[in-house]
Amino acid sequence: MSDTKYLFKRDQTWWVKITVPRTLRDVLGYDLRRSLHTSDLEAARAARAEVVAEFRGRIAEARARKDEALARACGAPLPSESGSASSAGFEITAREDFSDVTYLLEVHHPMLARAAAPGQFVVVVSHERGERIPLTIADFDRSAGTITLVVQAVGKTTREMQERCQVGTRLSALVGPMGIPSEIGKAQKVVCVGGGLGVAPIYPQLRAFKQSGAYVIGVVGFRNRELVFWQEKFEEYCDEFIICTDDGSAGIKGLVTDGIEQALARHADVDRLVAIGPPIMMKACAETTRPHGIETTVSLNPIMVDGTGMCGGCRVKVGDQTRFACVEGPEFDGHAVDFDDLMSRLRRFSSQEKQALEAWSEATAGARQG
Amino acid sequence: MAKKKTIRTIPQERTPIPVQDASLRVQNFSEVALGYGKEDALLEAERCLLCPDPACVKSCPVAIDIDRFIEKITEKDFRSSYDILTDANLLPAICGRVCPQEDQCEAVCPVGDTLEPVAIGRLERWVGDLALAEGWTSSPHIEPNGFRVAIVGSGPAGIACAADMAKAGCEVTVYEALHATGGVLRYGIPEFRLPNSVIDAEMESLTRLGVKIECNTLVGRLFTLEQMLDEMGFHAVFIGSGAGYPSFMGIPGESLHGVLSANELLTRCNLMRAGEFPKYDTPLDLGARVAVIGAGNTAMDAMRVSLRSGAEKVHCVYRRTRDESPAREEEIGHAEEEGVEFHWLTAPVEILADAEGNVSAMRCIRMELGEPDDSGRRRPIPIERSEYDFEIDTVVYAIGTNANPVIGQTSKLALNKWGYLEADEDLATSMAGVFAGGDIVTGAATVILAMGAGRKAARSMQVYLGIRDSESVYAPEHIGNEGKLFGIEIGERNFSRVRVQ
Ligand SMILES: Cc1cc2nc3c(=O)[nH]c(=O)nc-3n(C[C@H](O)[C@H](O)[C@H](O)COP(=O)(O)OP(=O)(O)OC[C@H]3O[C@@H](n4cnc5c(N)ncnc54)[C@H](O)[C@@H]3O)c2cc1C
Ligand code: FES
Repeated sequence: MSDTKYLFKRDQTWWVKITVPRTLRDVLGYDLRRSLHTSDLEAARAARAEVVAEFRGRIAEARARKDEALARACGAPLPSESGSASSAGFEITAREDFSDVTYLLEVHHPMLARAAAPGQFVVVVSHERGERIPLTIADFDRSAGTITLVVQAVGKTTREMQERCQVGTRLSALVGPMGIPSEIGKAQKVVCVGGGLGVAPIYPQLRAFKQSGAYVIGVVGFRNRELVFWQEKFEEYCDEFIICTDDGSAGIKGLVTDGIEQALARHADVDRLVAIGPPIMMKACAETTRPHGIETTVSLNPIMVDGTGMCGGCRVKVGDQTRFACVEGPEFDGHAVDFDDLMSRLRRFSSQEKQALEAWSEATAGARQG
Repeated sequence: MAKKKTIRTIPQERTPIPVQDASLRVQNFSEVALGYGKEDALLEAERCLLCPDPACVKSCPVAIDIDRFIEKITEKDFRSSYDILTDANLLPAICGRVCPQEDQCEAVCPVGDTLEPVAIGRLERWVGDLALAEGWTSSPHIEPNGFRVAIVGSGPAGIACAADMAKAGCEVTVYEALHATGGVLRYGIPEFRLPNSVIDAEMESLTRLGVKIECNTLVGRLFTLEQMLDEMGFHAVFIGSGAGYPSFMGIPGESLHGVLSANELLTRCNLMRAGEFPKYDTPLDLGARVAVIGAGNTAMDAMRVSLRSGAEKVHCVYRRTRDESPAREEEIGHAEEEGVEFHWLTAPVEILADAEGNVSAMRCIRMELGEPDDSGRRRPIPIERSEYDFEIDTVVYAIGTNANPVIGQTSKLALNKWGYLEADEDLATSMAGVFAGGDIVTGAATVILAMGAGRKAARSMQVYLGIRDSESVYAPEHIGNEGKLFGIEIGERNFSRVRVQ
């Protein structure tokens, strides 16, 4: 048998080729090859050894450099390498259950934690067949390299995540921070309102207002005392903190709008209000401040797909304009937003949502019995 | 050499491409045009006259040596044919499928003066597919030069630029906002026209060149361009973020249930696989009667995806005529065969709703063509009192897209008045070291133009970085650039970048 180790022929010319070890392919490519500029096998064999030796040297060198880089990276990860979107996904590092529908997830993504600002959101895909859902960033810890998401299990995806997303598991995709960060501005006295799924997302904004020197009044709404969470966290950054519950079991009895009325009655000089929550609540907040002419910001949560401005599914009506909430929002002037349009568009997939939920419930029930 | 071919000696008929039967294919997402077999390709290649001064090469945006690759087919040297193709075009299997050949190379083919032009696109596709099947790659030996280059967006512009920079020896990272690569190739163009397996294979050849691909990374928001050039240590950046932002018309009824953009429809189906709902979580609310506004490639795709996703009747509403439609001729033909009803010279004026806020009908007005406008196309003018309604459940907008705003929002790059990135003839932007190309510069165009722009930007970047003779496979052993920029230590920041002509 003829000896053609490391040799191959292309267009009558002999080449040397060495396959690069898998771990070095990102630096060296799939293989190293060089033409020997001869069509004669004997001549090629003679020239081979030198080239092979050189290639081996390059591979050894690349390996050494890589090891060194690796050691360096472990000490101080480069921004382009930490928190990158590996196929393995994004690890959940902590979880807390506030009630049987509300849960907190902490996800490891150092770059995202570094970039996140109040008012922004992320898009999450929980598993390969999952949908892309937007979730507001409820908190971020730059030193730990984590972001916090607080999720309400309302539909199929969020309920499934409630079951699947345990500490140590991974989200299949996580991208952000998306949207334009909140304008903290120069407001002197601010009311920050959070209700339902908006309680957690209002927190980073409230903190930012406090840190910018404003007098901050927090107003948050829950159904009852059992569902209250983060009270201490809020109180740390609030000059006044008003909890509103439907049944009066904690704080005042009533809706967040009652809390706002109370705050406005005490402070005639409130110059800004920010509300995050269900559209119906944000609409009521905007109506409460409208007669007072207080600048009111709301954070909209339309149905999204990509979150990058590419599909227009997230379009909302603000004044007489159509805006894409994912790239031009999510925050808009509450007095200009067409909430009825938003609420109608949020019902767009209600029948499919129901179908998905039923299919999933049956499947999981089946799995539990089986 | 064989006897010189003449128009009389070549096969007279264009070799037909086998296609799936229209009645069958509307029920599946498998590829419609099945592609040539080897015999078909050999026969069709014989039709090329091998003109001494081939017009087709000049009208190809990336100047593929069309005559040479076809000649190699006739010589049955398919591997060389592939090498010639990939010298100019990284993605022959893709471009052979989606390029508007009838307006480019095939439009100027002299054979087309008397007969049908040589089916250059089909031949390109055949060679590209053969290479994928055989596992051929044209990955050259790459000599690292120490430069780090970042690419924003993994659409055709981004990947073409990435490939060239990697071949030149740079360490290239591609950042993509979505969870999958390919840009419009993946989320827009459907499976039956461009199978995902083809995109995957082409991406694979990119990673084989050593290119790193990072999905789930929204550049501008996760880190800014300034950060990339500064703390992240990239020496140059290319932006190919596309023109994904869909337009609406601003007529009454656009926020009703059942009105969506073609991009949303296609993304739900292609990227998120809504067709397999509820196995896949993403739903799609498509009614039985769908009207698509517009008649470009996007519109054709939206219509044909609708037919395959359960729509019973699909209408196309376009304010000009078939002749002005910007779609590939083949796609219009396929849509017609599949039963799309075309309403040429028709424009919607209002979308009507039922009591629950769902779309129930569309009011349209008939148009006639007037004088040519700036684009040279005759301007459509509404015919007074010609309004009529027709019943519909879903309205899909495919009337074009605008610039994606994210990069503009998060950087100081100069934009033009429509929001596209400002770039000079070398595709350099207003920020030193940052180049841009593809739809984000030109507005929505074509795959091949985006690729051409990516390659052009790569050449400019190489000049900017001072990389010489980048095409050469045999770079000198050590050019001493590691850790240095123009021979100056990177750590030393007391010099400013200049652009080299
Ligand atoms: C449905 C449809 C069908 C088409 N059919 C054809 C056809 O048959 N033939 C043809 O020639 N052309 C066709 N086109 C046009 C063609 O696809 C485009 O012109 C081409 O894809 C543009 O390439 P690009 O690289 O500039 O941008 P894109 O393909 O749009 O890619 C841009 C990529 O950048 C990503 N991105 C955007 N912003 C960021 C960011 N900030 N950070 C990170 N990533 C980002 C996007 O997610 C996307 O993946 C079609 C277009 C559509 C929509
Ligand atoms: S979510 Fe697609 S454009 Fe906003």
